[in-house]
Amino acid sequence: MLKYNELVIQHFKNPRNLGKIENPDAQATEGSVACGDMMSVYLKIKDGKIEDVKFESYGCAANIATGSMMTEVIKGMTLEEAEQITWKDIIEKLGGLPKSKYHCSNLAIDTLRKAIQEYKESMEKSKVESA
Amino acid sequence: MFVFLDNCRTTKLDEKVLDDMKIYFFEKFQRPDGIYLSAQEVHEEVSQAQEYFAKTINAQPEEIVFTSGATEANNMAIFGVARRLKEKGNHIIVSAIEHGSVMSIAKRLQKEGFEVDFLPVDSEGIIKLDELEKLIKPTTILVSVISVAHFVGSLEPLKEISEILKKSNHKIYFHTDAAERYAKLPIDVEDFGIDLMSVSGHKFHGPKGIGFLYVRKNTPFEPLIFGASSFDKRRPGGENVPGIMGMRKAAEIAFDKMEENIKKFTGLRDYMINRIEKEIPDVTLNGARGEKRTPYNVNFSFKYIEGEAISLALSMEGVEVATGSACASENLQPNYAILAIGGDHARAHGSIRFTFGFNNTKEEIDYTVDKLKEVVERLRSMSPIKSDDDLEKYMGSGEELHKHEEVDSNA
Repeated sequence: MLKYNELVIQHFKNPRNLGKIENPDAQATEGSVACGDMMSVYLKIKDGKIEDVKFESYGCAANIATGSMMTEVIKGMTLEEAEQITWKDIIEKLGGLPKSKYHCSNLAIDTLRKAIQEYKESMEKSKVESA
Repeated sequence: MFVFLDNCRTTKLDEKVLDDMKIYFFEKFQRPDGIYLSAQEVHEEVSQAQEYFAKTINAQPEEIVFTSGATEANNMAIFGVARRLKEKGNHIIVSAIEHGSVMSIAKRLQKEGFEVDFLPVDSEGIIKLDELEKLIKPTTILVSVISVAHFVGSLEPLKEISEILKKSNHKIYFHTDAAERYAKLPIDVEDFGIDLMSVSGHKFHGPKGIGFLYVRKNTPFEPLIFGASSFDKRRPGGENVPGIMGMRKAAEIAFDKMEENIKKFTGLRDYMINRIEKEIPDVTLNGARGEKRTPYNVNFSFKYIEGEAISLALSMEGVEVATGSACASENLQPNYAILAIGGDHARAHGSIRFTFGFNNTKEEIDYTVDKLKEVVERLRSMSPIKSDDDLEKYMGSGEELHKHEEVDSNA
């Protein structure tokens, strides 16, 4: 068993922003079952700001804790601010992770960025359509 | 409640064992090879222990070599025979579900120029005897098959294996890692046709750092460790007398109660399997049922969730278990035993192994299943995967595992 710090354990025990958002403005799922970790992120966006965020996780304790921390960090941010967050920031906020778990943090950020990207693309598309 | 169910990894020392060991730390701390009287007394007692272990497996005393545990015994047996017989043949067969100890030895031998075949197992984790027959060739010198598959608990057909080996025109030596069988289920090296067998003391409530290798008389074998003369020239160095005597006591306790333990834990095993299958949906039993399974192992995969999270959540409730998830392993690879029995990555990642020690009780099993139900339900509620369709959709190829390694190693 790997050593997790107390904060990571807390987020694993009581993940923040867990679940699904019905009719989200953006959503993405990254990772795969085969490699043992997967994440879904749901965003509610208003005036370019992340009004609400939820996540679901198939994965280990680090996967759940990084998802939880990521959602806590980006809630209320503008999309541009959220895009600037890196996986290293999440690890730092969690007070560190075992090295073999760094990819979990990477997955949380990848999923978030994918959701934002898809949101932006759909906005572009609807602009073009309405123009 | 605290429940330890990772007894295949190690067990708690029996206090009666410690009482016996203390004598050899303080009163009789001498080594057995001195010429003074106290050393002679220790020599006598270590010799008696050797006789005792020999008797428990129907062997001769001089066929027992004390080691630091099963890992050393495995190294001694496999390298010992392989390197000695290299001129006669360089082909070795090991089963696909060996413990990591034998697996890494096999891989090392490949580097040394040996040809190693991995003997496949069926969906219950039992080696395929017909495949063994096909793999044997004139250069085959050694076959190593674990006595009880350490992850999925299958009992390997040791006697049938040796019967196949005896049919060959030339001698093929047969080694078994019996760490999970010795003192738990009967072993008769004559009846089973075993040439070399590894045993570990701490798997049956004995001390850590002690074990033995059974080596059949006249087995060509080269020692791993060289040193000054001592109790046994095949394994020089300061003898672990407290360990040897502690392991003896633990073995005596285990052999006295063997029948009772087999009966009790067969019942508890099946009780636990039944409760899990009845009370938790979407589970898969890994390994065999009934007589082909050790009484001391239960292994399930829980669909749609991952084992590291399950085991960590269980440990927060005081229940300690093992998992085959890649996330819990150093190399981030899913458990090879689950893949060997035909499971996919998801089944490996979601697998949890519960292994019993002689001290586990029905109350502990009930508590474990109760907590397991809660944990599985909670983790499933968090998972984006809710059905087999989701599983299929998000299965992926597993190639992402390598991407993980990159991130982790570049960090």
